[in-house]
Amino acid sequence: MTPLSVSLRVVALALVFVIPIGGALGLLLARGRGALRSVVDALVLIPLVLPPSVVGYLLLVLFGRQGAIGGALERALGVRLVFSTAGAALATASVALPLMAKGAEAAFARVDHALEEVAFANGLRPLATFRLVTLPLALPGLGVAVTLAAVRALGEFGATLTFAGYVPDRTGTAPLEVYFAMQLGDDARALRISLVLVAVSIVAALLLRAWGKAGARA
Amino acid sequence: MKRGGLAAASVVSMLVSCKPSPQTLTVGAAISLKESMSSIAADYEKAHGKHLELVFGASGELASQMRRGAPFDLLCTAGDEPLLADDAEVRCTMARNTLVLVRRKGAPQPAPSWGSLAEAPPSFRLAIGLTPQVPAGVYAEQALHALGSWDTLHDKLVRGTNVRHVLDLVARGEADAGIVYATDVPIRSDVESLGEVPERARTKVAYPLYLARAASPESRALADYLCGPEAVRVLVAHGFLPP
Repeated sequence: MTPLSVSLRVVALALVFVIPIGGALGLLLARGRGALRSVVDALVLIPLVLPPSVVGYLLLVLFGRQGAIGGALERALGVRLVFSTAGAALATASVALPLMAKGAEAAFARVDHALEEVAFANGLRPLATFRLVTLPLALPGLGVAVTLAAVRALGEFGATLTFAGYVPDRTGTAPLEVYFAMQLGDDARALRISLVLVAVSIVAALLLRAWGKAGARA
Repeated sequence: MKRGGLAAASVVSMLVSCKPSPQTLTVGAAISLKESMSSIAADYEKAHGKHLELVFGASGELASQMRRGAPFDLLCTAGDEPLLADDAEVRCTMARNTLVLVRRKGAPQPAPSWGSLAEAPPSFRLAIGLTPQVPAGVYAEQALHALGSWDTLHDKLVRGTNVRHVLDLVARGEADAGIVYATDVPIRSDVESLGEVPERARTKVAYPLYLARAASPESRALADYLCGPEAVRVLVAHGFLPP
């Protein structure tokens, strides 16, 4: 297993949770009012504000084998998160979620309420209004949110190392492999992985630009 | 505007000027030496009025940093670091150590032993150091090979990024057992030793002291002190074997 395939598995697994949960949180933040909205807004930003090592440590306290959730998970399902790909994905998802939620909030906030009201007044049900009007209008902004979350997920280092540890084939994502290759003086390997990540970041920057243009047209 | 620029420049220079004074010597040491080396350094500072800056980490990591120009005057690793041949010379062996098998105190499972490791259940996790940069991991791998339990265990291994990380993984119960140095066990009250590595699987664990080539007289004097009887006394008090 190469570091990039470990990275792809971890990022994909994290995004499966981050996109729907972050999207729903973004909608709540854009449309919600009152105390609940304020609480969610504060909570969702915490992983973005905290150092990743703190996020990883808190995950270890909660989801480790001696932790309240981790212990229960192991007893009930036999699942151990530390040293596993799922654990790396959990750490990655924790730090990527705020970007998805805040990005989705901005995307939904930009949608013109009047258009939704017109659709609703013409007899479209709320869910259909969301699917046929809100979602297409928010799409460029959601694209930006997903791209930013994916890039942050791919670059995750601190929380993953602190919580999931370093097991080459399971949690050895590209950023971790660069760090350990460098530590051993294996510059060729560190450089090779780094160059692939540089290429990915250029693609991401182009993608963000394309989403921005699509948003300006919409 | 001009005043603002000046203020900013002075703040920046204040933040940058953390350069150690010429009185400061930088000593890198294997993290298993953390308490003993800190104690030895405190003694030396008091007696000689020098300031020692200590850097702890996995030996291989420190050696690799020195190879790349990290300004270590002295480096004491938990094993030979051939990487340093061009940059430093070995002045002496500071101490020796032994490997032990450890686990979390009060763990409900029956305690494993060196001999029973090979028959551990599939869910068993044994923590050892990341190789090749953590010498304790290299010694642990050698011991497992010598005991003939490597083939059944290598899928059950989890790695710590230094020997104290291995100890922490055991203390937290993330690993069912771990292989660390005998001197690491008293560091954590929640970890117990399950015995020293059997005689037939024992490799020599020695701590060479590397002195940077082109060393100053001050670092030579410190090297002599670290190789001397006062340092050995402190190391032995922390459970190390004399060189």
